[in-house]
Amino acid sequence: MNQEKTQKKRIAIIGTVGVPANYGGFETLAEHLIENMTDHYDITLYCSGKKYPKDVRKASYKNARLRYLPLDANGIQSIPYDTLSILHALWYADVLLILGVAGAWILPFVRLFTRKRIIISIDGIEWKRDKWNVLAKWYLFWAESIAVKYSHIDISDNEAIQDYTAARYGSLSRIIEYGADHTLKVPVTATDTEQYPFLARPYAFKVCRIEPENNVHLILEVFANAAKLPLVIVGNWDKSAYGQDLKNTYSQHPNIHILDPIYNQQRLDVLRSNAALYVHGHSAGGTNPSLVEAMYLGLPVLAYGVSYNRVTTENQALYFNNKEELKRQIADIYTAKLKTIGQKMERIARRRYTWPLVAQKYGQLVAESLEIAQKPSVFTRISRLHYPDLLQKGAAHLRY
Amino acid sequence: MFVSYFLTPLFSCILAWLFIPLMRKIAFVIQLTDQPNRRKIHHQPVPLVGGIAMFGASWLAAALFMHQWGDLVLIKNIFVASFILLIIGTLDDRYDIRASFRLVVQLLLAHCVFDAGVRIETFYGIWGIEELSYGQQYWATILVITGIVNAINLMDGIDGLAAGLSLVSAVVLAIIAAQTGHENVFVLLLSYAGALVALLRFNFSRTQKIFMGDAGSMTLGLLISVVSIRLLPTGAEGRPFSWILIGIISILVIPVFDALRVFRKRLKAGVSPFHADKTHLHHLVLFLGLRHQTVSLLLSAAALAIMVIGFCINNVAGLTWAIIGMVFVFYAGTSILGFHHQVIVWRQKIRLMEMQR
Repeated sequence: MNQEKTQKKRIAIIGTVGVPANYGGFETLAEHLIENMTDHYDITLYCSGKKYPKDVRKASYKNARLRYLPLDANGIQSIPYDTLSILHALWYADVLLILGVAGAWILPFVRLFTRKRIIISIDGIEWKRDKWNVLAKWYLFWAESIAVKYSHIDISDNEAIQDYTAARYGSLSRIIEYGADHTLKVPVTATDTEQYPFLARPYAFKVCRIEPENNVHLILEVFANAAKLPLVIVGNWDKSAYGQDLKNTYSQHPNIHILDPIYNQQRLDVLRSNAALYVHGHSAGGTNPSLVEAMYLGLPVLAYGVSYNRVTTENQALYFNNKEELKRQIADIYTAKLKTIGQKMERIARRRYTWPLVAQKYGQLVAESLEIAQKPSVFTRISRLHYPDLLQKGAAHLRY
Repeated sequence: MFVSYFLTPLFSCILAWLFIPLMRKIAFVIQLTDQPNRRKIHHQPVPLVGGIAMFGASWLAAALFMHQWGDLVLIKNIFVASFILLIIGTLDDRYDIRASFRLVVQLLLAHCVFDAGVRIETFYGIWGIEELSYGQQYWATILVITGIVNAINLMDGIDGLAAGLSLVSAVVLAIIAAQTGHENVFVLLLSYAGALVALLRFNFSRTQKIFMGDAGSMTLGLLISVVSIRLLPTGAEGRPFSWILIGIISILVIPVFDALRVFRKRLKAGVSPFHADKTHLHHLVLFLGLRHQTVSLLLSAAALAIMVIGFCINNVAGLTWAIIGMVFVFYAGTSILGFHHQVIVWRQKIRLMEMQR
């Protein structure tokens, strides 16, 4: 019995490409969860065999066991990838920490036939993203509802998304954002300046996936004619016709520096941490890792004025909703203003966006999931009472 | 005789084509018009005279071209009941009378139809049910007639839908009537078909638009329900009858099951089943971004498709499975459309939420 009490609870982390993290927000999250939680929990993480060939695979990484599946973690294969991971984890895990909703269809059966605890992070509102076709959107729309309904705890990465889940599902979604303290302020060296001459003068910086919903075309158009600052923009230009068109249009423009994707963290940090302004055009997807990283680096932020970005920056950054507003903001910036905003961003990030804090919150949720019987609702208990009874007792006005 | 089968719908179509413009003018004078509001799509008042014109044209043409006077009792009963519903419907269009009063009238007329001998006597072995007792016949007949009258009424939500579905129904029932020797019913249905074509022309018009109104939709519902029951095979006719049942059921699947689906949802939401909203099948199809005419055409084609599916399943698995199959196709279709509707609605809500903070 003592052995049972002291045995660590077992967590399976499902839904990421894998570790070491090279690919994106969930992967970085998974890596930091492993770093911060393996002291208290026995963690197994599922990785995609398609992205980690046999010669680089490991049996464990930072005290977490790794399991590989011969499937892609993204796209249509994410459905069987997550499903098989969940099924495998049922044999040993106490808690399933699922990042993304692709495998959510199986959760009703997990709840029905097992006593495993399910914590699911629904990411941004994925089904709304333009990158998905109609069938994918429909599946994700449905899967999200299943994920929220059948999990013990669901996690949003942004208060605006919490509002959405409350409105749609009546669910009290927990907010856990991302960490950014893995980023570094890297001083510029002569070699860097030789490779990137724009480093010698102030510049604006943007790093993102080249997609219309990130407002890349709008930002490029404005900066092409903005005299104040050149724009350095890093992204996957060649992945789509949209990106290729923009690259062809602006690659020779004197005020625009178009760079292909940079996967080396240090190289990216050199360019990013020395920027005078960070431009964030994302209009979807909740709390964006690139934004919180820029904030942590103390960069002044000029962001698209959607609710997620405002919440992430606590309404303390500069915002634009269209071309004219972006032009106006750029015209109005000056050094002291940028410095103040940058300092605010850094204070917010150091308070909210650190990996130890994120891991601590996840740890608390894991502990909570093992205790709760039922997921709390946003609706008060009184709203679920029989209306005629409330009316008789003179309390009907309290009903939601 | 065969010439008259061409002349009947042609004549009723021409008559309706002449009646409608005249009645449009009268409608504006007596304010028999549908006023625009937040829920409706049109921006100008639209005359509600389509039903009256269609009724007049159809019965005039039918009277002219009916050859024999057999089955006269049935024809007279349909005429009288339709006429009463036409008056009630016109009063409702003009003065917005209470739904309960309309329902009482419909129930009384259904009772009269039953009394006249038009009744559902058997379930033909569907779900193992054969002959019905007298009481069961009564309630089944009353339910079917009032149900279909109201279902067609509820379908009259966008241009051309009730008329389009009724046209399909009239043609299918006319074929059944011809095949089963109900000649006067056949002529009557042809006559209505011709008038419906004229009605559709004006229904789709931008400058001379008319609606059929409750007068039109209820009389069409009565015609379809009574004729459908009358044409139900009695078993004594000595020929395979499942195709008749499938033909009749297929034209009713969309209006009847859509009404049931919507009623269930409204009751589940705690509101009156007659509460006006935008959850009917045609609203869901409109969310695909199609024009009214296209939606009406699609749904009319869907009724035919359901019939074909019913025939195919019946050939393989029998009548009960054919009915289950037809209903399943309907529910699968509405589920997909309903799902799409939810996605659109939530996307709009999220857009508002995103720009609010």
